[in-house]
Amino acid sequence: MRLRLARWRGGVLLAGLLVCWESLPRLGWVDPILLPPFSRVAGRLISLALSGDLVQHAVASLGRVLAGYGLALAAALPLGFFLGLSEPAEQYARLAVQLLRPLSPPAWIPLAILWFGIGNAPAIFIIFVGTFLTLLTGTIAAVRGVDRRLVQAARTLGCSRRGTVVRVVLPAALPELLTLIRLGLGLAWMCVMAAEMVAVSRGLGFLMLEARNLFRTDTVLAGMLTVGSLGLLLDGLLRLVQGRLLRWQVGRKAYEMSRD
Amino acid sequence: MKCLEIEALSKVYAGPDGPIEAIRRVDLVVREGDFVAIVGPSGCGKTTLLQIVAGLEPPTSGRVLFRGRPVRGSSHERTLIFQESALFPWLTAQGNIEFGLRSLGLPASERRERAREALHWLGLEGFAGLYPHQLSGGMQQRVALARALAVDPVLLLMDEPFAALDALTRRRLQQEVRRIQEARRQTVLLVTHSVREALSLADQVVVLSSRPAEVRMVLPVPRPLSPAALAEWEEAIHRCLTEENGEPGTWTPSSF
Repeated sequence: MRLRLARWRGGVLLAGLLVCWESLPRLGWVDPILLPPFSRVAGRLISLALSGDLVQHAVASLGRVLAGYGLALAAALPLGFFLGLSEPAEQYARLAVQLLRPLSPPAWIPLAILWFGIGNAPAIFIIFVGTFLTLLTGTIAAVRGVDRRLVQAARTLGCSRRGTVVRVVLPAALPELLTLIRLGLGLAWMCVMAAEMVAVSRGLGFLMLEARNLFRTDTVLAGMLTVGSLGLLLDGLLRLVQGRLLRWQVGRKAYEMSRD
Repeated sequence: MKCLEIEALSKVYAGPDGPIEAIRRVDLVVREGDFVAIVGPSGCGKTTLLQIVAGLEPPTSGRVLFRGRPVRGSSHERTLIFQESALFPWLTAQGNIEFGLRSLGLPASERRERAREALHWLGLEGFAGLYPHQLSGGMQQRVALARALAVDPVLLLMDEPFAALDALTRRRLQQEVRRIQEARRQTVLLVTHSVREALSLADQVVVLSSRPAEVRMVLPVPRPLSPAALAEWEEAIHRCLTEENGEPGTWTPSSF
């Protein structure tokens, strides 16, 4: 009963915000050109969806995220495992990683355009560089954080060195890795917006930028709603995968608290 | 027959403020079927000694012979049990026990059969499907023991396996270990800081000094050992440990 109530609480604030959004411009307290009421934005969203434009833009953005983030995952996870398991290798890489990491994704945009021009390539590049180092350092930390005794136990149970990587380090680091992958996806989703504001002619970022130039605040807001919802949806999908893979953790915290 | 021979074993670590001498010229022999306990003050290098025997760390100098051959790397023949169970939290009790059997390349049917057997030895029937976090500390340590015994080790290495348990659970598990050891003629090398534990479990007690660890004395323990004799022996070992070059403070008395 209490749990069900808690689930509705999240909706209460959202509903309140929507009511404010609807009434403020209608009451004339806010200029409707700067903030059109929610119903008009929703109407615009539906018409964009029906015309097929929205889907086209959304698919373009999603495709870039999948390509750029997929590449970053494919590169960062194996490399992170290697560096996490090998102390000397990590020492070689450390300075370079620390130097490049503070560069925020938008800082790569000028270079991306110089190298790749306009189109999908610079956007994918920006997503890649914007997520790669975060994934890399996170993977190294996750691998490093694995309890050494688990590896030692496996070794004295006859498991080979290579076997422990797959059978011990990977499952032991998995909870942290999955959180990292969710975090990275959020980051990739932010990067694609930044990239699409400058380097492409399709995608949700482009849609919003163009609408700004035409002073269509309703389209800008409709685009923002789409971006938010899609981000939520992607994260929800990953959470589903996470729950599936980490089923053994169900109730773990509760058990540990109830003990002693 | 000699199972384990340690000759003039020394271990020096590179510490932040120069080298740390953990073990100094330790000699030790464990025969097949023996239950040998190593006692010494906390932090004296007992654990390091066990890790070297397990093949998880190389010695600085000296030799460790296992069945006449120098130890090189780890193997299921020298299985190690830790103070905290070190179970794999993502596997059930059954999965944990089968872990080593998979490394040995046994087929699924035989793995299941041997896991069932190991669960039976430790009275864990009915717990096979539970995850470590669903088990009490004592039960976890039982699963760890079952996991180690399932791979049929020649030498069972135990690093303070009872230290994290409450007194009642510890007592019960100690008896269980002794019973299994006798039934299987299992060779065991146990490391503990509890003199009483060493005396009540082992056939032979090796007393180490505080760091760097050196052998102070080797005592064969007669069986049965009467409570009065046990108290006397315990007192003697404590005296031996506190007399050494003026660092009695490092000795932690057992919590019995």
